Amino acid sequence: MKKTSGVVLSDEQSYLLDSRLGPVARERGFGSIGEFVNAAVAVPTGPNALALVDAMTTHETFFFRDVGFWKSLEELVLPRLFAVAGPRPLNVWSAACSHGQEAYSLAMLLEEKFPAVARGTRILGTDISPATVERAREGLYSNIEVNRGLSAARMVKYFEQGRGGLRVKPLLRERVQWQVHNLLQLPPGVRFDIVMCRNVLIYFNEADRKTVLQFLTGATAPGGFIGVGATEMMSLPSLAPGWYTKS
Amino acid sequence: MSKLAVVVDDSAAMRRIQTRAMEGLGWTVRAASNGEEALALLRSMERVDLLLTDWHMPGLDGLELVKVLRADAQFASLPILMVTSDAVLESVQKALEAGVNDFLMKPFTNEALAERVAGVMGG
Repeated sequence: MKKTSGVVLSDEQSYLLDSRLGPVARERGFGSIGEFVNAAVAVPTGPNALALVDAMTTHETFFFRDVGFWKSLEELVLPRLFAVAGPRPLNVWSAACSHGQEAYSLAMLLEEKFPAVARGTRILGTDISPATVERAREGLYSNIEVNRGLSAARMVKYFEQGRGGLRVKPLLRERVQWQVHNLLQLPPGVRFDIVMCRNVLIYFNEADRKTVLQFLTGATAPGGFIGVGATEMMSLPSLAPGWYTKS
Repeated sequence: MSKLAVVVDDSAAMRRIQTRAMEGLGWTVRAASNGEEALALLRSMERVDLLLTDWHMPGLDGLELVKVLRADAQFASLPILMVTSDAVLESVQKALEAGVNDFLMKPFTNEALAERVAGVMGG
């Protein structure tokens, strides 16, 4: 896992091996977890390795996760970005986007609070797992997922009925692009006004976390902002809990 | 003084689950098993801060209960959360039009319930 993605599991998480890898190993036609793991290790960038990383990392995220983070974005970060040259379309990167709730949450927030900016803003969502990126692109969420962070008013405004759940409407889906990307590799060759990378740095060891943070900082335009998880720290000026500015 | 919630559901198990969850959040809970009972209960209470109601119940169902309450000045601004397994968008739309503040789909986690409650209470 560390070779493929940089993700490191603690001893306490080792119990996950059986419950998570067993089904994946069987699905991929291996006779045992051991055989599956050996095949994954043999090709660290291959499909088995990616499937292993996908199975072992927690995809739990939800819409508008951490109310304080989104409040700071709306009331502090975005006004600061617009302070100099007025409201303008932005480039935003949702790194380690998981199933896409963060990127779509941003699209909803912009549509509601800054509609003139929303239309031209480009949101890029990336994740290391192709399957995860596909799920995000599809924008279909189960009732359990929709229950978290989404008010009924937003459900009705931004979602349509899909098979087995609710699907993000085309209006919002069109505002987000998706790519497979490993945080330990060079970031997309664009400078972003906002980079969000939350609740994934905890999985990296010290050295890799430093590398990722350097990449994230490098990908942020001067005057831009980086949003990380509430307990994750950066050595940049902090605007609010979880928000750092690259002056 | 703890906040007062009324939970309405024709399933005894669901009433227990929601009551325990709400008590865990520090609420005092009274329960009713159908719309008519809920109406009588609400009208008898000096104060109520939140209503959680199921939709599909025999007799006066949850949607009709909401409409009756919204037409009554006493309950026009009572925070109402619909908690139902009727989990299609059309139902969410109908519930909003009837006057609910928010909508929670069954099955739900305690975290989801806590968030919804905080949301309708303005927290």
